[in-house]
Amino acid sequence: MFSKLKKRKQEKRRILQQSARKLIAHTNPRSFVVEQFRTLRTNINFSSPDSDIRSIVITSAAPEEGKSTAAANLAVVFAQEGKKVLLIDGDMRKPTTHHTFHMDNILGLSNVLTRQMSIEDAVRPTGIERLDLLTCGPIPPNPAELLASRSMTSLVEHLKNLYDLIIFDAPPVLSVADAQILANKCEGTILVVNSGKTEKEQALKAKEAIASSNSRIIGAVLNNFVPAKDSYYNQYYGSEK
Amino acid sequence: MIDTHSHILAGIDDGAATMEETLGLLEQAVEEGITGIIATPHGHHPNFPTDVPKMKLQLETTKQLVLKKNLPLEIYSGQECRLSDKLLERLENGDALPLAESRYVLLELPSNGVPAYTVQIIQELIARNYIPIIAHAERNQGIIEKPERLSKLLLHGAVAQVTAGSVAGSFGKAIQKTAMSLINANLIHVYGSDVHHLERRPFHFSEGLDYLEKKKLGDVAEILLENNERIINNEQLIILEPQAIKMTKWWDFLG
Repeated sequence: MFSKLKKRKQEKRRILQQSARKLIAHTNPRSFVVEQFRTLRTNINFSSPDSDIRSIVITSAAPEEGKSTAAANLAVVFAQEGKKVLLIDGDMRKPTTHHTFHMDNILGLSNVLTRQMSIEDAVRPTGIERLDLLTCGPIPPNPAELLASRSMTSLVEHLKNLYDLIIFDAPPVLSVADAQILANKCEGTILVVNSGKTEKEQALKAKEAIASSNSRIIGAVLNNFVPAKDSYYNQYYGSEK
Repeated sequence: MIDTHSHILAGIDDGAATMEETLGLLEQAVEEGITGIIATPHGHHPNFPTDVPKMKLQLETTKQLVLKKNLPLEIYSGQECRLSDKLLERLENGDALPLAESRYVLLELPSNGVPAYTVQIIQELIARNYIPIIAHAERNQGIIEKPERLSKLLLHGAVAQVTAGSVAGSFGKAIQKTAMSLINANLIHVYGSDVHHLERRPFHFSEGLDYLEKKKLGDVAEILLENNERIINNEQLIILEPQAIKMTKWWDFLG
């Protein structure tokens, strides 16, 4: 009657991995996609040779361009490099990082900012070495005010003592003010652009918005770009074949 | 397999009326392959009086009955808590019961819509470490009209339960469709029968699971059942990331 399901038990883990946002940098580190994340990491490291960038905001012009995927995978490759990394879900309107790492979202940033909880209790290990996660926590009625608060500024400063790098997963720039506020508190901003989806004017507007918030755009990520079949990028350099 | 929603206790609400009916339901549960049932009588429902001591007594009587009849079945305490601004207070002083003494609370919304204060109550519960489970979400008129209403509740940390009979089609095609859309969008996490009566409102427990299997959603059924077990053990549920909801409307077929 329903016996088939029992045989599926072993496959369940696989199903779970497929359904969430993919942490490809962790699950398949030799993929050529991950090589692009490593290139991104290197470019960030070289973008300011004189001073280390310690806090980054990842955002995009419109929703669903791949911010959270980029943020999570970038955090993983930085952790793989040996840095102590904290990924913070700064999207307090539609948080997703807890899904990526299969965690609950009962506690998080909003608890810390409203002083219900200390940061040490709210940060949780992800199971990936050197990578910690601060989820969003209960969705507050006033995300922009919380992010703009003085306790947020002091939190970022405090976290810089504990981690080598802090990565914020932010909401889209053009929809809400949150990303600009976060960008203002961090040293660098990365704009994710979805190839074939993002409108050029919107991308430009997003860039202007970030610039006007007194933050530095380190660069942009072109997401979902499908290279031609015989493209150089499709081969893993150094691999046999 | 655990059933997380049932009205098996005799004479408490609109579920089983007598101990004979309770016994009938328990025997049917065993036939359906259920190994554990959480008894969830209506709590503070406008149509039924709530008497927690009487309910607990009835729970004990039912447990005795299971022992006496030697049924391979475990009965757990619980309640289908009506949405109310007093819910948290009731939970804290024992006037409302969570599922199987866990942190999960079965929350019943009025069936005609989602009141504006629902989010606030969910937040209050979560702040005190309770996790509300929205009972029979697919049968709520507000959610049927606009399934995004459920996504919004889930965003604030609630989870949702589907009724087996809705999936099996015993509440009609419209509700079945809503149930399937919600399941396909990962908005459903828990599975329950909401059994009331042997003939009028039976379990449909394996029938619903078979339907999911038929629709190639066997892996989803597996997750729902696993979550049911996790409620009993008070563990964190498997929650997949919600996807965009696709409701098929009749005018979709016009092209």
